[in-house]
This record gives sequence, structure tokens and C-alpha cells, in this order.
Amino acid sequence: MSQSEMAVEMKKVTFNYPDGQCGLKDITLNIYCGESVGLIGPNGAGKSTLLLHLNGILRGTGEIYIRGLKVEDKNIRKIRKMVGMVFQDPEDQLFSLNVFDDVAFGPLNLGWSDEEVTRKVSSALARVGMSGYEKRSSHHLSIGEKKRVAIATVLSMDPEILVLDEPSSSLDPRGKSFLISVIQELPVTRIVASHDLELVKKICNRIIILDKGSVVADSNAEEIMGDRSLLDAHGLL
Amino acid sequence: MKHSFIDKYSGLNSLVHKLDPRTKLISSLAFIIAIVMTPASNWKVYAIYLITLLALVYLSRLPFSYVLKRSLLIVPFVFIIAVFVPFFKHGQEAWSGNIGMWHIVVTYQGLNVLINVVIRAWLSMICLTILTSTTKFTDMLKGMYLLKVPAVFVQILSFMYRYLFVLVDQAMRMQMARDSRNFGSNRKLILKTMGNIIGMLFIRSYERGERIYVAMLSRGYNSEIPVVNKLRYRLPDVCFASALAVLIIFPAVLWW
Repeated sequence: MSQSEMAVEMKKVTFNYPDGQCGLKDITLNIYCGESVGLIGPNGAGKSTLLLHLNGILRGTGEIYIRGLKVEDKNIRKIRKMVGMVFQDPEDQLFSLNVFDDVAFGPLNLGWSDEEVTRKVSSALARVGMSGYEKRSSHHLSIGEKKRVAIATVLSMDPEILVLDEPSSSLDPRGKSFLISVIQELPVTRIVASHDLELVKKICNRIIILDKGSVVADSNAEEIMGDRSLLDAHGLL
Repeated sequence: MKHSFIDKYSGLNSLVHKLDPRTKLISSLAFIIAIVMTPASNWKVYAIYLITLLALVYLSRLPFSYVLKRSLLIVPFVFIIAVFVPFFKHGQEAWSGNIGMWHIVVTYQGLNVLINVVIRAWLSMICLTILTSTTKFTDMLKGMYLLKVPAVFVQILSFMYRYLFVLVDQAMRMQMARDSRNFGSNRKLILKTMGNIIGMLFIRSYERGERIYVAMLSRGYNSEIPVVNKLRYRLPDVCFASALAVLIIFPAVLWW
């Protein structure tokens, strides 16, 4: 496939934490536009570390390209607009005093006009089924609602790549199935880090297993899900 | 878990609630400056100011008892700071006596200062109570932002309000976890675990701060939190501000 259809291209990315702990070891992978990729692996495998490289929060050695654009300081604003990052704990993502301000934060930083921002906020909230919650304070939402609003906070920036870190953690079954249907309907490239196999199976068509900072498997979803010994070897069963 | 809010009555619907937060912020500031600048023992001016404030409480439909309770909170603090003034200020003797080897004199002038300080603090506090109880915290911050209060202060206040309750929840959970493993141990141990809880809270808050910052960066944060400006000065704002200005200035001119 050509360069322009590549959503994410990582070339030999290695990252060590300041305390010497190994984060990522020589990761090379390509993700194409429209793919839905599950990133699975045990706790501490480096899933979140990898995600934080995608918008340049963490920088290791090696090169990363997002839609052909290199992750470096001069492109960082464009890249952060393209990569919508939803963090594991919505309490960290929702730092404003009400839902509207949170969802409007990204668009306002992009310098869009007030009308444009208001329109984006309502369409983003509608997409996650949270219309009418604009004035509510984020602290008083249920955990499922918080997760959905957290997704809306990045949808409002019209990202091309949606990155989700443990989207289903601490959700009840109904909250989870609703969230899955919300994510399934989004017309963007998706990268989901999780160890919730049920969720990954429903959302993703390709799965990458990460363990101890390295890619140990990368294939289509059925194949990986069918290989029980592989999943077991990496603490996923 | 639910907690009572700083802006508990801000959801009421009254003339004062509907005003632009900027109007209320500026009026409150002006009022407090007037209160503080009123020359000492100008009782008539104090009385007019008190009546004005009580009228505002009535207009904003706040429960009087709530405003009274809130405003009296400040008195002990002021009292602790000012309580020694009567003993040190020179002037006409009001009372004197010997305690052990010390000769103690209380002067009328000193008592006067004390009373003035307490009254001023109390009036200012009523003013602030009205402000905070009639304005939603979010609107107040927006008002501050538009009034060009340095963004850092506004952001600190915003984060404080947002995460205060998260922190309280966390502390309560840790306390429950402690209590469920702790059956009647001695006081020293309780103090020690309390210390650990406080330390843990600090570390967790610090780490949360880092995570929030990352979440902000990911959405294009660059040292400013922009807001959508939906605030408008309206006719009631002008009327309110002018009326209040007259009420503040008139007694001052008359009896200053």
C-alpha cells in the first residue's frame, strides 16, 4: 500500500523509562487507514507506552509517521489533532467543570470559531449518546457516561485515528456493550489497547500482542483469538 | 459519593442570580473596598451597608440563616488575629488588672479597633457569601477569565473545584480500607496510618496531575484554556451596578 493510506508507521521504536525500566523494544509496525487494531497484552506489557508515542507525548528512538507526517515538534499540533487519545481513567480526561467545556477544549485549542465549536460539541455528544448533558458537571456522571464523554472530547476534534486505552475498564456489562456499539459506529481508524478479549473481538479486525515491550504476534483477529496457546503464553487467558 | 458544594444555592432563580458574573465580581470587589476604606467607627455607614447587604440576600432568595452561618465563619479567624490589639493600643484605660507579675491594661481605643476590624471582616464576608451563593462556580471562573484575571489563577481554581471531590472520595475510600482492617488499635498507630494516608493522597494527586497534563497536551493544550464566550452584559446588569454604586457612595459622601 502507498504511504498516504498508511495511518501509523512505526520504525524501530525503542523507549526506556527514566528509571531504566524497559518500555518498548524495537517496535516496527504499520497500521492502515480504516483498520481497527486491538493491542493486547498483560499488565505492564507496554501498551499505554506505545499509545503515548502515537501523539508524541513520549518520544523514544526510531521514527513514527502519522499519515505520512513525522512525529516531531514542528508537526505536533497537526498530529495531536489527527490522533484522538482517550485515556483509561476518564477522571483524568474530564478536567473541566462541565461536560461542554471538556468537549469544547480540543476544538477551542484548534482555534475554531465559537459557533463551529458549539456545533462540534453537540455532534460529538450526539454520537456517543450524551446529547443534553452539556451543562452537567463531569464529576457527577456515572462511570459509563464519563467514558462516553471522554470519547466525545476527542471526537469533537474530528480525529482521523482514534486511540483508546482500556475503554472497558470498570464498566458494567450493559455499559460495556453500549460503549462497544458506540465505538463500532465511528468511521475512523481505531487502535484499542485492552486486555478485555471480548471487547477486542467485537471491535477489532486485527490484533497485535505486546509482551515485555515487544510485538510477539500480529495477525487478523480470528487467527489470534483461535490460538489459545499463544494467548495463554502471554497471560491473556 | 455526594458532597455539598461551595456554590450550594447557585441554582436558585432570582434577579441577582441572573446577573452577569462579571457584574457581581466587580460589584463585590467595589463593595468590599468601600467597607474596608470606611473610616473607623462610622456606625451609620456600617448600618447602611449592612442593610444593603441584607436587602441583597432578600432579593437573591438565599436563606438568611445560611448566609449568617457562612459569614460568621470568618469571625474566629479575625478575632484570633485582632484579639491582642486592645492590650497593646495606647489610650484611655477601660480595664486594668494584675495577672501574676504582669500588669494588663485594656484601652477603649484598642477595643474600638477590634470591633471595627470584626465588623468590616463580617460585612465583607456577607458580601462574598452572596457572590458565591448566587453565581455558579463555572460562571464565576468564566467571568474572571473575561475580566483578565491571570489564566494561571483561574486554572488553579478550576482544577481545585474539579478535583477537590475526587480527592475527598479517595481519602474516604482509603479511610474505609483502613477501618476495615483496623480494630481498636492504639492511638499512636492510628496517627501513623493517618500520616501514611496523607502521604499517599499527595503522591496520588501528584500523579493524577501528571496524567491530566498529558490528557491536556493530547488535545492541543498550550498554556491557555480558552472559553466560549456566552456572557453578555444586559440592562439589569447596568441597573444593578448603578443602584449599588449609589448605595455604596451615598452614605460615604454623607458621613465620611
